[in-house]
Amino acid sequence: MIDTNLLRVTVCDEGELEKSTTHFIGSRKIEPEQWITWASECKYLPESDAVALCATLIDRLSLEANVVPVSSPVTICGDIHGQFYDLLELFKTGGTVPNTKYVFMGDYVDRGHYSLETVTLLFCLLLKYPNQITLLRGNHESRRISNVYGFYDECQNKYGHGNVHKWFCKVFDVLPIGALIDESVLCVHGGLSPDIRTIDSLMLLDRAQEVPNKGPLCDIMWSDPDDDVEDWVISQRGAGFVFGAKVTEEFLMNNDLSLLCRSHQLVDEGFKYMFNEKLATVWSAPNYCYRCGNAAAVFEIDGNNRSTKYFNAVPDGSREKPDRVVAPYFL
Amino acid sequence: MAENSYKPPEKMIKNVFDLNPWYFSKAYEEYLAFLHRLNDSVVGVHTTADMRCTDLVISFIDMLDKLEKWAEEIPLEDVSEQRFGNKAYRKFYEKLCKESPDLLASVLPENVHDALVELVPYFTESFGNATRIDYGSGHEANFLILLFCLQKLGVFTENDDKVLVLRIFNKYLRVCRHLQTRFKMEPAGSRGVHAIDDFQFAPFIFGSAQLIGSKSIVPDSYLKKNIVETHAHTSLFLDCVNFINQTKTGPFHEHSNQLWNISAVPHWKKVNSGMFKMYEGEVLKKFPVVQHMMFGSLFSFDRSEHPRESMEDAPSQDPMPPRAPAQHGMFAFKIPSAANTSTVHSSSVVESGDLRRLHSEKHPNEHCPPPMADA
Repeated sequence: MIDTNLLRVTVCDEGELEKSTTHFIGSRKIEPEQWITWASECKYLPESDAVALCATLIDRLSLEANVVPVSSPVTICGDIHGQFYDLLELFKTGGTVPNTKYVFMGDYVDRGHYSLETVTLLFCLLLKYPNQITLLRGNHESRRISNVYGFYDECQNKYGHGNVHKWFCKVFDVLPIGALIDESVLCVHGGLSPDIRTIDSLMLLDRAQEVPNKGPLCDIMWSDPDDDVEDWVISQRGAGFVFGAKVTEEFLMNNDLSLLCRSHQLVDEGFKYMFNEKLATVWSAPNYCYRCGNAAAVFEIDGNNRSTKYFNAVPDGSREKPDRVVAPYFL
Repeated sequence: MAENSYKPPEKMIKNVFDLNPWYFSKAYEEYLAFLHRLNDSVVGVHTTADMRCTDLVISFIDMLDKLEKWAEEIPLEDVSEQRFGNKAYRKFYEKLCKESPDLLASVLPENVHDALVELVPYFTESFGNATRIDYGSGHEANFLILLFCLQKLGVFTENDDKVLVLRIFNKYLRVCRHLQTRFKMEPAGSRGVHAIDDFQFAPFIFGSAQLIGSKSIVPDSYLKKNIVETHAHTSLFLDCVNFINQTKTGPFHEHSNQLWNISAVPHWKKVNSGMFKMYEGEVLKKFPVVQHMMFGSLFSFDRSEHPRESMEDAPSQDPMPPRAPAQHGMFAFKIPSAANTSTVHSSSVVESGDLRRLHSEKHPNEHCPPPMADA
């Protein structure tokens, strides 16, 4: 007879198992309401919360399609570039989440003073209201660019090391690259690619990677339209193409679309139609670089109705002067 | 000079792996040495100081004046058709490209006219990009490279260094500011608040050298608008800060956060040396900026024959060479308004090391060949 006691092998104490779980590094409380409260006041999250936010979004966004279907009414926004207080002004103009549905077309970070706070707020809103806000990937949502244009430096200064920047970049890798509104308006950050003829081919791209320096995934985020161009011209930005009305109309007709909506380029009034209103540029960073004096806009689509709302930079008001952080170059 | 075969300069930095041969190129070494010579020539010198200008220098300045007149004469285009920058800039650029060979030929001595094929592109690409109607530190670098080439050709000598900075380069800055404001040029590749300025870098280097030894102006002084306004004519640095104050809106500590930070540096000598390190780190070693650089026989991509005097590692057969001590500290310090302090870690050394490892992994034991000569 087999001694039945031998079959009961204790692997660990039952009480210890429960205690250990609460200390496991990946198990953190997710508190979107608290995080939104902090983020709305231009405060960034403690590191562990920032990592938890990113990890959760990665899990969720990995399941999203490259092109996200959105139904109207929806408000479309262009580049933000770390202008946090102007983002708050945008919400005043366009309406608050979740009462208003939004598509942001990328470039949340770099250049402006509050990249970290800006992208933190947008990510918290995405976490809490995934059906009311869509965040597309812009060319600045990449390691190669955000290492140079400020987001990395800002995370370094605020957290003291690069770990949080690393996690944000992992989220950037899985942000969708397009939004399809009412199956008739396509939103992307930059523009078209000669390698993309159909929305289906957009769907088939492997987007979960660093933005490559050429190819269709690169082009979608880097290209620009131009009235003086017929077909495709290599962009002088160093990535992407410059494309014209002919290829835009071809793309729209092939895919039964009425409008291509994008940001990526500063426009003086915040909004600009091109190609007989077949293409729209939306720009949402007012007084860009604090010198351009431009207006900013959001673009509202409700069925067949389209309208634009404009806003300007927030007045200085009372903002705390930051501590002076001397860069290592000057030591 | 030995007889040279001049050719139109072309882009050699096509991807991040080309950064390493660029670091060790003749162009990099000689350009930095050139900037240091210019810098040393203006230590403690006011912009308004008397200095002897040769006829050649005066002709060069007149040539730049001519560009400014063109900018004024070309009518602006109607705003409604444009995205942001005024498309009339493209007319200016067309005229610049068309007239540049003759302009430079009329100013430069006969014996260097053979080199015009190599010099003209640096000149035409000094004033901005016509497609995007923008301007950035890469365009500024092209003008400095032009001056470097002219000195290498013997058109200017090292006796002209002071004049190159405070008369010719200064005039170039004024032309560029005029273009920037008249045609509403967009900042090219701007790092926004993380950069010294949206448009320029070099005047902050030279301008900080000018202020070395100043008794009345310390780095903290340029936070006060009236001091900047009063002394803008004495230093390119203060002149640039004055231009920023005139053209930017919002709080200074926000729109010019790097300048805000640098004002805490105790003296100008340290500001000056820091500016050089920052120029290397943020302009010369950043692919998005240097991918547009053009190389020829004068500004040569060939590997330098001299071991670097800097602390940078020399190339080695070892795929993982030990890193030399950093030129600057690993840590920055915060100067708090309150009592608390904290350390901030630098990333540039790690990034640089990573890049060398990356390069070694990609091209183990490969030596980059010199660019193909024309048949």
